[in-house]
Amino acid sequence: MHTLVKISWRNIWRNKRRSLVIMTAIALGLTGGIFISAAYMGLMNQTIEESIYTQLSHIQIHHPDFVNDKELRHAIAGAGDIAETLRNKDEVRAVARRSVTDGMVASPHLSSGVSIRGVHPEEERQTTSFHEQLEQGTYFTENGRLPSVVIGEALADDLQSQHGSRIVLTFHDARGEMISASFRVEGTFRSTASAYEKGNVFVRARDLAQLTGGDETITEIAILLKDEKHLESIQSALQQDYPELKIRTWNELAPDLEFVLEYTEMSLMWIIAVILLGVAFGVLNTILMSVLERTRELGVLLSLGMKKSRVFTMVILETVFLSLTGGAAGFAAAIVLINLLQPRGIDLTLIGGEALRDFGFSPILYPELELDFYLKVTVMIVLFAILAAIYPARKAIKLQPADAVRK
Amino acid sequence: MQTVIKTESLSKTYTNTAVPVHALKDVNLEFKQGEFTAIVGPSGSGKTTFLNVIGGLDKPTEGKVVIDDVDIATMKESQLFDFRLRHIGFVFQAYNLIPVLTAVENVSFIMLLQKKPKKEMEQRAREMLDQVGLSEKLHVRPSQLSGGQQQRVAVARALASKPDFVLADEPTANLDTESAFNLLDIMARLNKEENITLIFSTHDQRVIDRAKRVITLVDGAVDKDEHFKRN
Ligand SMILES: Nc1ncnc2c1ncn2[C@@H]1O[C@H](COP(=O)(O)OP(=O)(O)OP(=O)(O)O)[C@@H](O)[C@H]1O
Ligand SMILES: [Mg+2]
Repeated sequence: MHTLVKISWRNIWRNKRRSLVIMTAIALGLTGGIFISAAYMGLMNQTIEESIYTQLSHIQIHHPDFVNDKELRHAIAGAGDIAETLRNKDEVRAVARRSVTDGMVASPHLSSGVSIRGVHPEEERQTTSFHEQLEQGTYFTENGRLPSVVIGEALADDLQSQHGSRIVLTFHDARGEMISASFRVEGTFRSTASAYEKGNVFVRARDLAQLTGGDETITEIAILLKDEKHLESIQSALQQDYPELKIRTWNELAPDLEFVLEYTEMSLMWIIAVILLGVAFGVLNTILMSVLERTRELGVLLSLGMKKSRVFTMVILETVFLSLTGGAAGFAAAIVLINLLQPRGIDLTLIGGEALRDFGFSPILYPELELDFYLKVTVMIVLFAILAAIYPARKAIKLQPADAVRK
Repeated sequence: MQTVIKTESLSKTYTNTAVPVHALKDVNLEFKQGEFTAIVGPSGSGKTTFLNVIGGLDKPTEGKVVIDDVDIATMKESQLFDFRLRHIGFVFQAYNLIPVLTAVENVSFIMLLQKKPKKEMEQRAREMLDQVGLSEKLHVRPSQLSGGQQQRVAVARALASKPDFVLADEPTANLDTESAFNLLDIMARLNKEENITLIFSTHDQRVIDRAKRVITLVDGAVDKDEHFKRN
């Protein structure tokens, strides 16, 4: 076997120019395919990270009824204690309690349904990075006559209000009574997704409690972990401790994100498969030529008593080596390219990428690709190489030794 | 002396041509252990065909080849491969060697396919290359050897695995006189020392004069079968 590997490897270097040409084709195709994949996967992962660190956090806890009916009356009993216990866990980085409810926002120009998110600013600072995304104004540092509200830029545009404007929020309190109150816009934020900017407004949980004339009603506890690898274990631990509550991870909270990620990876694999399929014909041609011009030599091998299965394997190995060498070059080039562009990112606003924001994507792309992806592509390269090799290898073993050695 | 190869009314007709070619006609021959035989005859007389058929590389149209009392036509393809590997050494007219392997790797090749222990294999390969006068060229690839040196490596390879017999088709055809004699000396010596049966084709008179038995083919039929006393 060892000798077969040695012979096959040396054989691909016999016609250096021909081998290099096809290796270059493989390398170029893969560099392109891998780089595009890294760009897309980077975009997807960025979007997910962004969602986790600005909106979702890793895990959220709710009252089960809150899931379909986002009202203050579905409060989490003993939320303060739960949050305290969570904060003491090693794997947990930060915990935020929120009074979330569906409601309405209105300005003299427009009214619109929103999710009103009553937060503890000091907890929120550690959990979501909202305060870093302020476009105008401040994040709950003012203590004016009117309670503060922080709204998205897109919503501010729609409402035609700005920093300092007065808007009215309407919602139901925990007893189901309708409450309407004026708030002053203290700040506006930017998010990668304009839908999120339009659908969420932030107020102090304390202000909501004051308006409802009772204690704070916490309907949501968000947990940010130190490391995503603890996601499942923490979730199941929590579920055990609080069986009466709904405990969901980010991918359960936003299943579309997970789906988009998987779908993107799948599509990219298909793109690479198409590239490889094209290249495979080139590989087939190269190997077929090398088999045909070695008729005599292969005849000698068969005459000497080298089994057909070994000759077949030899041709397959040659093809796999040829393809993998080209593939390795392609990987190397793609990795260099990715690492060069990784720190600064690719600014798509230069080519009209601003519109990406409307779909929830950041216009600056940081290409990245996991090892797993490279492994899958490597497996594909080997599979395509074997497919391309079958015809030439069959040709090789169909040679009649007596005819072949006469050539 | 023991009979190694026997042919019984061996015929080979090529029908893939416009007119059928009778390359071998009713050939009945016996080869005994340790013989040193030249198959001679004009071009197209069937020498290559004969060697290919008795070596199991080609099938006869009629008749049988019996080696060590086994009719090789009864063997399955894989058995035949194995049989060739274990019992027959081949030397072709040219381009015998695997271009990407060094001389010593080429000589080891058959033994490798036979799964001989590595140590034994290497030692034998070196010994054989030494015998054919190429101990200086162990790690040289065929492209850097002269035609004569390449044929010597091929002979070393054919004999290294100690086959029952070696079939050589015009082994000296591409060699100058000196190399041809040199190769023949080596073959004769190995024939004597290792008692390996050697059958080779040639139309080179210089070579014919060295053989102990000379079989002349004319138009595929045995014309003469002469034995000579030589040392
Ligand atoms: N594959 C083949 N198909 C058809 N005819 C063939 C084939 N091989 C050989 N022949 C014919 O069979 C006859 C014997 O050929 P063979 O090669 O055995 O002769 P040879 O004695 O070895 O000749 P040379 O001295 O030129 O090598 C020739 O007439 C040749 O044309
Ligand atoms: Mg011939």
